[in-house]
Formats: sequence, C-alpha cells, structure tokens
Amino acid sequence: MEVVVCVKLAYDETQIPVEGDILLLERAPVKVSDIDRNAIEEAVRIKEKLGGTVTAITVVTGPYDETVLNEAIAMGVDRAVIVEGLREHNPLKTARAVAETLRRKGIKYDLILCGEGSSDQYSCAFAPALAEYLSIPVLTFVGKLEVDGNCVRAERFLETGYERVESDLPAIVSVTSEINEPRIPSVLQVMKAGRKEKVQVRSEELDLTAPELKVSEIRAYVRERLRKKLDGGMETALKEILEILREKGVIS
Amino acid sequence: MRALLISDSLNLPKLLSPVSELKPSYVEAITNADSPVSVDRLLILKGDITNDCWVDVASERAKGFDLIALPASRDMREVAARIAARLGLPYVSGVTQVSIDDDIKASRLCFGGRGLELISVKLPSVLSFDLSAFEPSTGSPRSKEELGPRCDRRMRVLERRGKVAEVDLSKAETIVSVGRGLKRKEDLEIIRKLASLLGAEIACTRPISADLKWLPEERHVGMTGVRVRPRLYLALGISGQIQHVVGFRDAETVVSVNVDPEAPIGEVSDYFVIADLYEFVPKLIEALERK
Ligand SMILES: Cc1cc2nc3c(=O)[nH]c(=O)nc-3n(C[C@H](O)[C@H](O)[C@H](O)COP(=O)(O)OP(=O)(O)OC[C@H]3O[C@@H](n4cnc5c(N)ncnc54)[C@H](O)[C@@H]3O)c2cc1C
Repeated sequence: MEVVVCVKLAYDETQIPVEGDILLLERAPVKVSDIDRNAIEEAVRIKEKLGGTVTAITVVTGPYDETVLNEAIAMGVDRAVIVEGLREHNPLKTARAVAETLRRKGIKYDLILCGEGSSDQYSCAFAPALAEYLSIPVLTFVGKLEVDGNCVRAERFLETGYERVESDLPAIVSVTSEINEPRIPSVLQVMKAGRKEKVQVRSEELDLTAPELKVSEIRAYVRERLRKKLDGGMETALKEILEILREKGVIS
Repeated sequence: MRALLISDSLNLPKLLSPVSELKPSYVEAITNADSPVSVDRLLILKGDITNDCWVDVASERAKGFDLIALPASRDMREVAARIAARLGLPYVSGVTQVSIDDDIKASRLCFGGRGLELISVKLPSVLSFDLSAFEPSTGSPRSKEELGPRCDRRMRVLERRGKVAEVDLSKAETIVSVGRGLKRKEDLEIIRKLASLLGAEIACTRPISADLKWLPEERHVGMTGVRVRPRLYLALGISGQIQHVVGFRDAETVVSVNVDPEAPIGEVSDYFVIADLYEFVPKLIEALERK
C-alpha cells in the first residue's frame, strides 16, 4: 500500500500574541496542523498493517521549521517531499501543487490522506480540490477508515449524522480528529527523522494555474471580558451567580 | 449579478439572507426538497443525492452565474471546493460577512477563531457561508422544477444514520455548556436539571459530542460547530481552547466554572468560579429550587 499524507505547518494559534487588534504571527511558534497529525497516524497504522511506504508532502505556504517537520516524519513517515516557493493561503493552489508534484516526481499512491481542515484557515477545501485535479474519489470528514483490498470503507462524521461509504482506490480521504490518537515520537526518533530522505521541489518547476485570492487584512477577533475571579468560597460565589442570573433575567 | 445557490433544503432559507444583501438581479437555487424561499427559480433534485451528484449538477448549471453560494456545512464545504476546482473559480470558505464593489470582499475566521481575515476575490467565484449569524429569509419561488439527475458515483453510500436536529442553538437565550470536566454520561442528568431550572439549552465542547458522543453534534459550540449569541453562557468544566471560545464570542455574559484557577477559560469569562462542578452545580440547583 502506497500512502501519501499531506501535511501543513502552521502558526500555533493557541500561542499567537495579540496587541490591540493585531496578531503578532512572527512571534508564534510553528506546529504541525493538528488534524494532519491524525492523518499521519492513520497512514502509519495502515502501513504497519498492510506494508508499503508512507510519503509525506508539505507545501510551504506560510511558516516553515525543519525540526517541526521532523516531528511529523518521526511518527513513521518514510520520506518527505517539500514544495517551496508559494506564499499565499489558497487551498486550491496548494492542491494543484500537490497534484503536480505527484505527477512530475512519479510518486505512486493508492491512498492519499490529510486532515479535515487546517488549524489556521480550516477551509476543508484541499482534499476535495485535489480529488478534482487527480480525477479520483474523495471521502471527506472520515472518523473511521478501513482499507480492504482495492477498496476503502469509511464512516463520515456529519452534522446531521453518520454516513457509511466506500470507494475504489486510489482515493483521497480527509480524516477528523476523532479517528485516532496520534503517537508522540521520542526525542531520539525526532533526531533520526532528520536523516530520512527529503525531496525538495521548487514551485517554479510546477504548473500552478489556480484562481487567485487576495488576503487584504488579518486582525484579532477577541472580545474583552470582565475576567472577575470568584474564589472567595462556594457560598459567596453562589450568591454572586444568583445575582447575575437575576440581572440577566434568567431567573426572577 | 446572477447568483446560484446550492444547498440542502433546510439551510437554503438562511443561505438566501447574505446573498440577498448583495442585490442580485437573478437568483436560482438547487436543492433537494421543496423550500420556502423567494428565488427566481428553484430546482429540486429527486432521488438519492450524494456529494458527487451535487458537484456534477451544480458544475453543469454554474455557467453564466457570477456568484455560487453554499452553506459551510461539512458536505457543502466539499461540494463548494470541488465545483471551484472543476470550474477554475476562486473559492472562499466559511464566510461570515460579504460585500461587493468591483470585487467580492468576504470576511472569515482564521487561527481557530483568534483572527478575522478579509479576502477579496474577482467574480465569478464560489463562497461558502457560515450561517450561524443569519436569519432565514422566507418567501415563495417564482418558478419550480424537479430534476432526476443521473450522476457518476465515485463514492457509494452504504448506509445513513441520520438524526433529526433537535435544536438550533444559535437562537438560545441561555446556554449551559459542558466540557470534559464532566466525568460520566450519566452526570448529564444534573446538567439537564440545572438547564431546566434556568430555562436553558444544553451545549458542549467538541470532545463531548464528537469523541464521547454523549450529546448530538448540533450541540457542539465552536469553530467547527455552532456559533451562539445568548444573553448568558454558563461554561462548566471547559478549558477554554480558542476553537471552542470563538463559538460564544458574541454571548452577552460568560460565567465559567473550573477547578483549575489557571484554565484559559478564566481569561474569556466575565465571571470565573474556581470550583468543582460536582460541588457547584448541585448547590446551585438547591438554591434555585429553594426559591
Ligand atoms: C481544527 C480544530 C477544530 C476544533 N473545533 C472545535 C469546536 O468547534 N468546538 C470545541 O469545543 N472544540 C473544538 N476543537 C477542540 C478544542 O481544541 C479543544 O480540544 C476542546 O474544546 C476541549 O474541550 P474541553 O474543554 O471539554 O476539554 P478539556 O480541554 O479536556 O478541558 C476540561 C476542563 O475541565 C476542567 N475540569 C475537570 N474536572 C472538573 C470538575 N470536576 N469541575 C470543574 N472543572 C473541571 C479541567 O480543569 C479542564 O480545564 C477543535 C480542535 C481543532 C484542532
């Protein structure tokens, strides 16, 4: 089984300092986009069960940190392909870059995995767009996955219920965070991951025709709260809460 | 401007609201059941419509339209991106606000809800809308047509286990929300009791609905769930991760209860009770019953 897993590196949104309505992105650490870690875990589990290789592809569109990529590789990836030279967050263009890279580098795939959405933009557009560019089936928001011969069976987790689906391989699957618990590699494994095969691709080598988006501004979306701590014991807290409930018209 | 809406029949009336604000000259909607919307033409797809079908039908019809609008539900996020890729159009997902001059200017959340992004795109383009802040816009279609599409099914649906949505939390005035501070499913009973005393709806964090399946998905608040705007949001045993917090950003007042004085929820609450919810909730119930 040849599994390709698509990985995005992103600013850690839980650690972005905010000043007024400005997000200080350059001061935020970089991480592997959360749900992509579930995709890597799933890819590695499939390899462990069925044999084959796991190739990770990352298209650098924002921050990049090699040690962070090594953490992803250390989960059990055999080789990594890094596409550099793009600057914008446009999932359709990223999908085009992956489709082009697979084709030009002759990378084989039976199954392509990625996360349902990235932790920064959460467009959930990459997997569907890639499926269109490669003309293969796509199963999105998959919370349970099973590979059976030349076929994948999956359970899609939707707002309105669950859908059991199947398709032939090759296919692309976007997974939800409920599918598994990603392993955490040891420091030694991360160090060793630095020596795994890495293939560099420049975006200029690729034909990246895709529609354009222009991000004109990003600002903080936080709302100031009173932040009053009620730590003076249970009785006082209760009294205050009852008072607030009354004030808000919740109780009379 | 000519607009094409693509939506399940339930979301369609809400989807029409932001599109109407752009003053389109002609509006056509493709949906899967009759829907009370005032559009120029309503196309109702009959039969078992999978995502592959939506994409095939919509891509066929989209020629000549300037704006293709969908709800940002999970299925429709897939459909939207595929239509855009197939037709070579720009796509913006999860739009919360939109305006038009020469280009479309759309805002949407980013970084788990910590940021708001302003994006401009040229028409024609595809937009999916975060509908939680929009009211349904109802009326009746000027013309109606049924279609029985034949589609290429790359993905086969074996079984659907649907649940009828119980509530629309975006309307709730008072919300009692629980997180993983709740230890067992049975303990939802005391939460239910509290909610009924307060006349509140129950909501939760994503792990409670998605991982543990203690509550249905439409009760999960946050970036990937509903966004709510109650007068009071009572957060019990919730740590306060940004993806959840963005969901109650527009609440008037936020009260939280957490055992951990350092929990990030303290920073995004008006009143932060540092207590064990298993002590606090029964006491609060008692006090409410005494009245
Ligand atoms: C792309 C992406 C999208 C996401 N979207 C969403 C979303 O839309 N909505 C969402 O909710 N999450 C979302 N998440 C998950 C989110 O990051 C958090 O993991 C989640 O919100 C945490 O849920 P929690 O607060 O219930 O659990 P935890 O983080 O485990 O917090 C439990 C809290 O309970 C407290 N506690 C424990 N025992 C008690 C007690 N006896 N009394 C009082 N307090 C107690 C603890 O101190 C802790 O603070 C998303 C994640 C990603 C990566």
